[in-house]
Amino acid sequence: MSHVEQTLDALRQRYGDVPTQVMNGHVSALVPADKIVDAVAFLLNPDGGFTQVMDVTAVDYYTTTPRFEVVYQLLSHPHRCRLSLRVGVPDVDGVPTVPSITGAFPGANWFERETYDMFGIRFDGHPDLRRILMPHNYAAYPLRRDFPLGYEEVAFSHNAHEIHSRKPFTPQGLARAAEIKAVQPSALVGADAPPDPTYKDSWKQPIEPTGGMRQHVGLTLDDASTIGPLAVSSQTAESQDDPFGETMVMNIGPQHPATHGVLRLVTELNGERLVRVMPDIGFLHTGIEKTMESKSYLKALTCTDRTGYAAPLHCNMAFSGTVEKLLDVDVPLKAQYARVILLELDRISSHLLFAGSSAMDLGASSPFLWAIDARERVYDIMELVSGQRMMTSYIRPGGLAYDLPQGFDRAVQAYLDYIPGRVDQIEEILISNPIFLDRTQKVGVLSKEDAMRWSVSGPIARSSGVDWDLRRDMPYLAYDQVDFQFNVLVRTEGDTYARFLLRLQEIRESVKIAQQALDAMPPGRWMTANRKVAPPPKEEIAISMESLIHHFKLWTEGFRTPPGQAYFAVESPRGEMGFFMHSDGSAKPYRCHQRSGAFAALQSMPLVVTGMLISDLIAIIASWDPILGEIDR
Amino acid sequence: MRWDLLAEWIIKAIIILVLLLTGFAYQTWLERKVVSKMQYRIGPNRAGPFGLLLPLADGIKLIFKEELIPAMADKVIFVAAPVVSMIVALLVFAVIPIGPSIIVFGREVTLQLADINVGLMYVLAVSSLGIYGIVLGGWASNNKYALLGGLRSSAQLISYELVLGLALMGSVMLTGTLSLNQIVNAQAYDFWNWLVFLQPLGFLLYVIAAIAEVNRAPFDLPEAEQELTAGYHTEYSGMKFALFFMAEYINMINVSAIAVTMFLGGWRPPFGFIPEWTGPIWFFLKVLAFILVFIWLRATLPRLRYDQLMNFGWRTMLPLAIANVVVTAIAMALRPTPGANTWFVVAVGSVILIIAALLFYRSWSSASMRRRAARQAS
Repeated sequence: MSHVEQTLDALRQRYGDVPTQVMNGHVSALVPADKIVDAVAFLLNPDGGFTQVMDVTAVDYYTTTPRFEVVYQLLSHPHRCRLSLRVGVPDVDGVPTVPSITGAFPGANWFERETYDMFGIRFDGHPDLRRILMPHNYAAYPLRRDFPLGYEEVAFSHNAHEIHSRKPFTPQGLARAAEIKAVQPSALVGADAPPDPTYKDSWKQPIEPTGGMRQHVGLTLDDASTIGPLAVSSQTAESQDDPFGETMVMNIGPQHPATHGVLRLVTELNGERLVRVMPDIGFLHTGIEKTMESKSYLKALTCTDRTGYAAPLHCNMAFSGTVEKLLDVDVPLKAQYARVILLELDRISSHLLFAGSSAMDLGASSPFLWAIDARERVYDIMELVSGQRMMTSYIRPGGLAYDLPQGFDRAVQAYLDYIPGRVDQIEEILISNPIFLDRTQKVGVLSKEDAMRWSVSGPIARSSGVDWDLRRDMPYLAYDQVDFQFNVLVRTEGDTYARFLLRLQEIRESVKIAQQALDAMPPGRWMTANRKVAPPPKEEIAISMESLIHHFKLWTEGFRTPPGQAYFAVESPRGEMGFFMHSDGSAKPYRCHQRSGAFAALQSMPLVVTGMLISDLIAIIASWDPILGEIDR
Repeated sequence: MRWDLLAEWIIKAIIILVLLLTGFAYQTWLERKVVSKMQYRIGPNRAGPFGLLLPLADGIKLIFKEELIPAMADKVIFVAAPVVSMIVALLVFAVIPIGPSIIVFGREVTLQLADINVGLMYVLAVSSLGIYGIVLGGWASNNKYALLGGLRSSAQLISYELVLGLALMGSVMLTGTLSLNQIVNAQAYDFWNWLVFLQPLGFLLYVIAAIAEVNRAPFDLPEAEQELTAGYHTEYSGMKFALFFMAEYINMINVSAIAVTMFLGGWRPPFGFIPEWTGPIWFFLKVLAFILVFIWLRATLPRLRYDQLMNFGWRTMLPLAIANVVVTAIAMALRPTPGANTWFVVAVGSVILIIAALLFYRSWSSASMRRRAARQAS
């Protein structure tokens, strides 16, 4: 009797009837809404055997009651299994409400905020239930099924004030949205509404010179997190702890050289020391999950490249793996080996970017360019196999997009021979340097307990002593069919230095894995033979009418998946990258949620920065290796 | 009023200005080229052969760029700050001898704008004024990054100015003069007479303090790009930014020139048999070597943190600089005949250097031990 079955029995004993669904290894249990905190707390204690809540999201069934279901993905390290809990969301005072599990598991914090932001589900008892990805004054919940699609007017500089005054996030739009309670397409677009003259004027009003820095305006950090970056940058803080205005609120980002994209950190500073740091994300939010809902699986796949753009193949893989889990198709061995090689190359390229940019953030510019040079050579291989350097979309449900090209093994072999020397070079110039050691050692120490409690995974968790790697512990692809000889590196310091060195050394382990996969690559097809997923071969199309029709149907409509839910995760360079998918039996994902390791990890960053200097904060951001495309999606 | 003397001064001043500004321009070109070679890149190669016209293009771009003054900036100070930086940077070179006296149209001309007897004092006094440009620029921008950059800069310059002055004191004591011309002449004629051999620790301390003084990596905290975007000149654009930029690079030339003058025999050739009129060439080569070191450091080292910088300045550099002065004084008092037996000073200087090396080695060896441990762990 497996641990999941035991757990289900235990849940039934506690809560009576617990309906379960099983789909190709994905087990989910429907728990009463008022018991969810109890259930999570029960499962997360040592007897329950589960260790982390990896994901919290929701599904909107729209026409049914209860309309929403919140879905929790639990992971057990000791038993190496997953369990999904589902909760039907009851309405309280007209607002869908469930209890927050942040008391039992703090790492659910941002996931619940995101669910609130996207679905309008209130989490009772959440310490900080604010919007996270959408603008703070946004009036709608975009991932609800009745959110209108399309008709978005693009604002240019010559008509921005007109367009914006009709948008729901402006004061005028907000008022209008409040008047029309139900969110209808016309309310959001308001094509017939005349431009608001008052807003036009307020947009053009010059800023009153108030003496700027020299005048206190009573702005607290909490205010700062709800108003725009521009407003904060010219004002001074007066927080409750600090009535005399000794501290200063300063924005780091969204546009800043060291925030790896558009991460905004609102910092409260005492001199150069950080009193508090509050990450603000969502500046790169492009509604990719919403976009995927209206695309066939194959087209939705191309969206995944655009999220984790530093390791796009891992996003492809997580998505394809989830679809394969829904479809229950077998992937040929050759495709699996090729995927392993490409994923490890992808990991190398991502870690190189990390190593280079964190050296750059510490002020050493040469390692950055060495790493970028080495990374470009990975892209040469990607270009060879797929024709694209970055957004390859090469790993697809059922296998690969095309067969591997001639010369693939030579190119990979050349790269695997070349990269260890380059890694040595980067390592040598940095870790033999006392300045680098002083800047990174004992800076930003994340304890093992915090890493577990805050849903941190991947290299960050491993440098804090969490011995967990999905490739070894819950193998997917060829990782479970072949006994690849590689070490899961674990360090115990948990500081910036450990995070840096661990990733650099993981490159060497990736080289080992890729080498073994390359040596043992079997012949065969690159794509599954299942005609429901893979198109028929070109030769056949020329002579067979049925094949032509099949091909046409597959490329226009796409393949259908059986109804159900699945969650599948890979060990991406930033921790667990997983996709949760709900299928209603059509050719498009009904709900598709991306669980990004960087998103979960970033929420734990404020824990380690208090009392540090600004320079340390920069080093710590770099060591967290956030990719904002993946965080904001 | 001697009109001929005035004309000579003006001509020499113009020559120095032209040299410094051209030097600045090609220093940026050199830096880009050298750094790009170290980073497997090509570097500038579009404007002219080897990108040699790039500084010109840069200059034109900066001149025509829009000048922005932030709405709430203190406008007068905002405009004045880069000017202060630039003027101070240009002033320093006035007292530095770049060659011997030459005969032009039957008139003896020293290759130095002003041979004042307190030349070194003048250099230290003027160069410490440069900080005003940075602090005022950082403050007047009304930008938090700029403010922090300005604050960092003032703390850093005050700390390292002290070491800088003390590091030069050993040479001043040995030569008994503040006139840069006489200090150069005291290092005649062969290279073993250069003060770097009598003051090895002083030389080392001076170079480190000088890097901090001109805000170059690894001491470029005031303009740390990754932390403070651009530090004190975040809000500057166009020609005002260019002035700060020029001041920084000209200051690099200045501190290199002072290092050459104080420790490496100034313009003097390394051997007595080489004719003295080659002086400016040797001076140029020596300064160039220093600038290459600056560039090399920038391409290699990460940046120090603010508190580490302060610790290093006050707890390592300053005690060593004081020890250097004290030991030099004792050595001079004990030597049998004044001036003659320099070997004594050399021996004492070497002892200090060894002690300093041991001090440095302690932190360095622990670093390499950690490195070995890391290797074994993997």
